[in-house]
Amino acid sequence: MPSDADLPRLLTWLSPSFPVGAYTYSHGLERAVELEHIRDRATAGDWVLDLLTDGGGKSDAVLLAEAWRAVTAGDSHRLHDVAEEAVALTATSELALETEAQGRAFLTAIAAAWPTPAIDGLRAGAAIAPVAYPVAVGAAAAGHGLALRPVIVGYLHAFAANLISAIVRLVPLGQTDGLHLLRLVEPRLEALADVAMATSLDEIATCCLAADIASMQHETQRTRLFRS
Amino acid sequence: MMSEPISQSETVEPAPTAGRAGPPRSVGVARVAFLGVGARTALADLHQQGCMKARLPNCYAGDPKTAVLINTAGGLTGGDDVSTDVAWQGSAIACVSTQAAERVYRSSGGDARVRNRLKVSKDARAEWLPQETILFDGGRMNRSTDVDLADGARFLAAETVILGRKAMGETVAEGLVRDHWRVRRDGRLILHDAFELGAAIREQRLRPALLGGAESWASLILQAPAGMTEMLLGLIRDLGGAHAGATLRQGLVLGRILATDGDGMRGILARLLPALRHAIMGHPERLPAVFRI
Repeated sequence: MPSDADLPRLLTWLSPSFPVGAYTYSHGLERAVELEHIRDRATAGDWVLDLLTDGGGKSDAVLLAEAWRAVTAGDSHRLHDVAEEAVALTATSELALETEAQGRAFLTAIAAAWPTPAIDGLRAGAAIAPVAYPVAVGAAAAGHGLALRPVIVGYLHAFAANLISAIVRLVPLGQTDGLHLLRLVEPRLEALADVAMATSLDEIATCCLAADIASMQHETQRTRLFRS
Repeated sequence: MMSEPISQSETVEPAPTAGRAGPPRSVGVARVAFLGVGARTALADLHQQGCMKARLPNCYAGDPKTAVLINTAGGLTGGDDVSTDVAWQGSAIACVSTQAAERVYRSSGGDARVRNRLKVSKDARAEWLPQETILFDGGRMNRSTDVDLADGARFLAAETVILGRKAMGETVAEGLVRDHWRVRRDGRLILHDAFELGAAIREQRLRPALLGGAESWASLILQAPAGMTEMLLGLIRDLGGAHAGATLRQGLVLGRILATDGDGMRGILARLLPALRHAIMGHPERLPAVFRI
């Protein structure tokens, strides 16, 4: 049942200050900035939109939805399949660190302050199989009866805002440029959520090869502020 | 000397396509099994049906036993359905390649379906090194490659796609490349490389985080003893001048390469693949013979 607490709860969970350490990850953008693929507001906007529509944002949104559906249906096998798929889909070792460390931290925080049986299975299995961040968010949201669509929109917004925050620090860009970038992504998020909700686990696919290579090259980048 | 295959069959008639709308399409199945006993690798099974053939040419000294796949239809188009199953059993050491680049022609309806299944046992050394796939404008390919690796198996796979034939002045405006790799180790899914580039390829290709203007990309999937990991990562990372990256995921070394065009990619792979073959398999440091003629 949706409740009056749903929106504030979602805002809390997806806030930049929620203790998952989101600010320490750049999703490979630190390398893209070093190579000057990202150098100003326009090039930053292109990369962020690419990742949302054809990269990690797109696949995360589908994984979140599938985890939410599995928990809502009470289907632990399906949740296991989604969790395994999420880890298998992760293209690089640093993107795996980014999603798995945040997934673990998110489950810990939810278990501490918003306990729900929905995440117990994931937490128990986390010792042997890592849990990707969108799977953790989808499972927790379903466990608390949050409606799926706002959770996806919120997740994608947090994903984009975190990338933009990293870019603003790295390029660096002015705060106003950062605000323009946040505004740029706003009108895209609802449509992206619709696409994600209409995409099944088998249909997940991305094509951000240059972003994958940036993440791979970040592993050996000499000066790094970010863990990914 | 080549030993006699344990079982061999060839069906000239294509598999039935009854009930399919439109003109008849190419259907083919190739199944190859290598069996290694000690230092010797023999062909254990060869089955060919429809447009798919496999040949085992004589090898140059030092080269592994090599199966060369041939699509006798001369390319793929919408509605085609080709499958290749390869098994490396026992201590088999063998390479599978293709006789020519696979051309995906403009589709008048539907996708060309390509299904590859590779199974490698723990003492085997398997190479999957097809020549490139060339997508023509309007071509649509839906390819899946399912790999079952035993822990301990050595594996080297490289798959390359080129958009259009630059020498012919062609550009690809639209089409589909759906290319999915699922790798399982001892039954557990460890990698799903889920790639799809579709619809407005001309515009997608230029987007910075996608292909960044490249017309060719290659994916590498390697499994080798853990002690080799750093060296293998280094071979891919240190391709001077190439837009390439390498990483380690769940015990697999993964590589991605982008190149401006097909010629550029062939040049990069002509440097990289011999080094990888030598490092992982102990083969002479050269490309498979079909690449060289």
